[in-house]
Amino acid sequence: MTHKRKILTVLILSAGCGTTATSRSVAPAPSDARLPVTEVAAAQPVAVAAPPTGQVIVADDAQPKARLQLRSELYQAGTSERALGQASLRALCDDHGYPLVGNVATKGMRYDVSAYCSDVRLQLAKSDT
Amino acid sequence: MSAGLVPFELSTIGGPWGRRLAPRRAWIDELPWDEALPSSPEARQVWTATAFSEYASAAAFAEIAAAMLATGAPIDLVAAAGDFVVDELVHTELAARVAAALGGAVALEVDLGKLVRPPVAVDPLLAAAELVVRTSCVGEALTVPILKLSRRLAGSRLVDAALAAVVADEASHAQLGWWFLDWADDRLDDDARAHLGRVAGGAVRAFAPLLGAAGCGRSGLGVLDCAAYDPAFVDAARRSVAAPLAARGIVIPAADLAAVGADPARE
Repeated sequence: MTHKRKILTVLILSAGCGTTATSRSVAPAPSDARLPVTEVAAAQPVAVAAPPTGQVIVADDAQPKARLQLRSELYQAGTSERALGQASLRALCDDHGYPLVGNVATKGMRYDVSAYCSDVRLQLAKSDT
Repeated sequence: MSAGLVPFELSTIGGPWGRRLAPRRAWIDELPWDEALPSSPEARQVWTATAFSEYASAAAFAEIAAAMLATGAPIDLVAAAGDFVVDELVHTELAARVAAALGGAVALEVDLGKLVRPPVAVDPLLAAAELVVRTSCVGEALTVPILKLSRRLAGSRLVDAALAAVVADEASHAQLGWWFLDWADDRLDDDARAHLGRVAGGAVRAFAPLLGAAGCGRSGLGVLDCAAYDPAFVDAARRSVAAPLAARGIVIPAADLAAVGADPARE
């Protein structure tokens, strides 16, 4: 066959692809209800915690709306579910950045909010550079 | 070469390629997908990570098959390594579907350019042995007892059936490593065995950050809590990895076993 084909693939795994249907359906688009970490990263960097680093605490009316919404969601939501929905996890790797061998990453380790916030700070730091 | 971090996604193309794979994956459709599963963020995370682990294992066996061809290994053994690529990709789809059934995969960033740690040895036989030891003798050998335990604690018909199928495959994946080493036995000198011991030790030690961690979720749905995982891992490292390697003159350095709490002095 020499003619070119138009290829359509079926997505069977993607973040937000949660369904009770069979895997042959196309994954639904991720819900807009949750604030992606990337939007936070685009916000202006503002110190919000107690100032051990000497940073200035900014009043709410001077903060970006996205940041206020994120703070509200973190305050109200359960730790694990929200963190899973908003933070992007990394695969477990060895010290050279290669995946751990085998299939033994079955240990259930909860992703706590402080770790999430440090990820957000990392994203903010990257957006400044 | 690293390609940088990208979101981990999987897709199928269907057509003749889907039909070709169909006989190998048809059993997935027969699992009890009608089971109502509870919500578990930890289980979604574990099954998403599992999908990636299986994907990386597929890459590893592809590398192993090519490396074995360069050594003139028996062609049925090489064919098995190639066939394991299919096994692992079927497991990848299975894990993706289980993650979806639990409420959806979590966002996972991966580097598709760094799926398999390359061997450092120049000699083709030793290079192949590095890959085999790391993937099969350590990785797959650890996987079998850990997944058996996950299955016992699953508390779900679907997860139990899924893990049963995976464990059956992974057992033969581990066996390939021992058979390869036994075939290559008279061509591995003391330096080669010492090198392979260090390779195995590095692979075992890489799991150290997983052990002893606090804040574990509960066991079930494929997840293992800390109290279940840690001792099972240590036992597997001793019995399923260190002991059979030692029987072949490949000794994991004591410091690497100690890093995961599996040094003989603690028995």
